[in-house]
Amino acid sequence: MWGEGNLTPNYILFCACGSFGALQFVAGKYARRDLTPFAPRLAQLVGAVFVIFAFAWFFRIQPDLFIPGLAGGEFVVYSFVGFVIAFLISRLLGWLATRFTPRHVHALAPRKRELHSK
Amino acid sequence: MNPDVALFHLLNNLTGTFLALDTIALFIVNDYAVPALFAFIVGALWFAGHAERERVVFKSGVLSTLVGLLLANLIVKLCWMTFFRPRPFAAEETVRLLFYRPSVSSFPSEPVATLMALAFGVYLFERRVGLIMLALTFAFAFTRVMAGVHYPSDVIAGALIGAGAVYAPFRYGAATNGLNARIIDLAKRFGLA
Repeated sequence: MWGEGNLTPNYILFCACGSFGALQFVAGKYARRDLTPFAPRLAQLVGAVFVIFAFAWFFRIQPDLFIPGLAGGEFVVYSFVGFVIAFLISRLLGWLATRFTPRHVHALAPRKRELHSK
Repeated sequence: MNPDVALFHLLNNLTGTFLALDTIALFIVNDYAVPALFAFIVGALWFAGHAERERVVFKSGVLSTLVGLLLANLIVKLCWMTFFRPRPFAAEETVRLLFYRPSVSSFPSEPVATLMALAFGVYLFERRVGLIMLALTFAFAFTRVMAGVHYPSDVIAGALIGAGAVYAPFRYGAATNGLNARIIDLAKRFGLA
């Protein structure tokens, strides 16, 4: 199931890290407070850093990427597993941020947006 | 000489010419970098959108793209069952190989069909991101030929299959709209939307 060496766990971790980055970026761009604990701009920055880090780490730790590795079906399954892990972490962080953010911050947020729209 | 083979040799001869080009090609051509990046993007787009209506458009787009992706892979597998084309490194002399030796049929290119299905599918509902993905798909297809694992016609056929397969659910997706809505409702119920 785990293929040669540490390729599979490393690939799952790579997908989890990259998916988490992409999710944070989108959560920042579309102001999805349920998926990120960060402010929109910061979430986009954190997202980009996570995606770049995921690639840098994976390509550094797996020098044998140019020999036959995972098969097509394995790619799909492991990518999905990585994405689910990233989604659950994002949801948890979003929930924690909402749970422990003082109420007046939530109350101010829409008003601030209204001011910008005017 | 067959123009397909001539173009293959022209691109394959770039291998080993410039170290920088080889390094970039190695990063793009492998099975991990571009496909994984596309998976990250498509997964994240499921959660995109400001208003509820916009979010439904994104979610429907992602679902249609995935249907197109399945269709593209099915078409490629059917092609492989009816036709086998040897890889350039097996059929030609003096091929500079930058990659491992895949054993499946060269025609059509499955990874290019897969990436094109994802890129063109995203392009149909999110133009800017889709254009970046299309550019990366083009670079991937180019490097597959350069690396000596495909003929140009293989990647062109793969791209056409991918684009055609993903266009169908968007163009004739009325039948699947109800199904998309049900999947989105179900996802919302389980907190996945």
